[in-house]
Amino acid sequence: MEKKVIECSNLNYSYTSYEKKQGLKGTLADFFKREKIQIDAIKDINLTIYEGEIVGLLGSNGAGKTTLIKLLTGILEKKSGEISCLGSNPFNRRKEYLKNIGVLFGQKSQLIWDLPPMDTLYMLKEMYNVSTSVFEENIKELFNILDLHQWKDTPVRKLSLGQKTKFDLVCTLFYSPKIVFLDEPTIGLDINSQNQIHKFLLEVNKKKKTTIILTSHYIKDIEKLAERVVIISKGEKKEDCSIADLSNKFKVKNSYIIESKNGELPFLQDEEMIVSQINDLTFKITLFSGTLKSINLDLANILSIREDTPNLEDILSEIFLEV
Amino acid sequence: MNTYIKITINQILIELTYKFNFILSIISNVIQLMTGIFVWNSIYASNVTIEKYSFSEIVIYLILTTATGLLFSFEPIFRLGRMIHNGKLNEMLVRPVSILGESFAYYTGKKSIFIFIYTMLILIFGINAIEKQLLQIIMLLVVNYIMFFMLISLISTISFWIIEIWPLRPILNAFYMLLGGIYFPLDLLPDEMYRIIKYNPFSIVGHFTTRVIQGNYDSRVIKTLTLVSILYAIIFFILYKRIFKKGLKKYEGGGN
Repeated sequence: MEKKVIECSNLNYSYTSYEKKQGLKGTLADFFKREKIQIDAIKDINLTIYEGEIVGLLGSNGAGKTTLIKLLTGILEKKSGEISCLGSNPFNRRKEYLKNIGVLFGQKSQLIWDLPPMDTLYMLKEMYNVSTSVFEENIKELFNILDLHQWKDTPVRKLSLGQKTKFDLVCTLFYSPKIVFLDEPTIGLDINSQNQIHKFLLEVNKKKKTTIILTSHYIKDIEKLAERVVIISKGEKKEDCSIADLSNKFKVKNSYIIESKNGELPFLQDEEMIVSQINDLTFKITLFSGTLKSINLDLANILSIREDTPNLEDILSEIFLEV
Repeated sequence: MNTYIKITINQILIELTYKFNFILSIISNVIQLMTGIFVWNSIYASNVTIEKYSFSEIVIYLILTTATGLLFSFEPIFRLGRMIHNGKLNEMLVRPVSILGESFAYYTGKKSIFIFIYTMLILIFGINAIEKQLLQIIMLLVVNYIMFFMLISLISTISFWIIEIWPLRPILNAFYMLLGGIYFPLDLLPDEMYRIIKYNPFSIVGHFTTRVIQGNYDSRVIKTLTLVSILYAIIFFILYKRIFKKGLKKYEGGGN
């Protein structure tokens, strides 16, 4: 039986904001009385995540992804509904829960600015109660994979963004947490480093059954890592399925992409179809009926035929635009 | 416990890295001290009689209270404000560490050099008192340190409701300088006024502790001061816990 590590039912979170009036007159009016507005950041979210899953949390800017992560990590308190992570309410901040989660906010480094990364790591070693042998073994492995050995004694303020991000990842993973929340983990990293991190996270997930919840605006992160995507829009859960199921859902029915060798349509067009040319060699064919009758197919001229399945980026664009 | 020791050590390393900041804070306090001595010198030179204090006693008093000002500062109030403002508090909230404990370790690390300086000054100017009441004085100093930390931690919780709290700095400094007896010994005030303000937290940390080190109070008074300080510490701690919990519910995790 798969173990549930995160369970949310009818989860709601809202906060109060203030409307700021324009101009000097408006600012003076606000000085005496401000208009309050209630923002529903998370609305009735039901979500279950099992041990060992890698879940991509997606949504446009301001959709509520980071708010959801903050609720799951105990930074924010829910307004209503139920939330349970590793059997406890995250907002209670129980040490047993906090010792088993790792959180990486991609745009906020947790390294001590004035000291080398090793000083932060030694402090975290004590905080998470990691034995010296396990610490040294894990750090060595992580430094090898992420190529960090030569920078470990350099003050953090002298490191590049990519180097800081890698060290932040080390800080998040070295104590083998059960759940890892990664908010934009590959931001600022070069392509090789991104690949290294993808490979490493997949390995950690496989070996230690670490549950990973990942948000990223780099589609590659999601495609390479996530088995399942949860799409949030205006605080609500819009989709929750595997990437394959999502692709199938958005697949354009009776539509095919044909690549020809000579730039010509490899069959005769008739009234049962619409043909549009995407580029010099590629055509999009949409059939009205779903079946192709006699068309004098020139097989030798065909490079490839496939169903018109949009890529994840296009699917997400469509979903985000719909709202 | 090791966690907090490591946090303290890290902060000491940071303080030693920025030598200029440390030297500058010493210089600014020395200037303040020299100004105070200059003013009192002028007062004594004008043939005013101050029965309770000779000029040399006043100078020693000012040296010790200036050192107190180095050690007991309001930095943690503004640190929490900064962390709330820029979202750095999130980092603390997701770690298995007490926010208060981390803040105490950070504060102690930051003040470690001044703790050393203050201790040296006590040994120089308070040797007579120390010989007679060593353990009591140590107890008083430790309790005062904790009590003051709890006071400023309590004040820092206001940061959950007020976004910019830097305007509080001059107000707090003024309160501390006046009520703590940093500018002048509080027992020079009219009796009625002195009676009202004498046991305020700033006065215990500043005026009274300085007079204890100067050997002006017996064991009974030191015990009373210690008990009052402990009482304050407990009250501030309880209030801190309650208000901090309320503040966290209001916190929106901003900055990320």
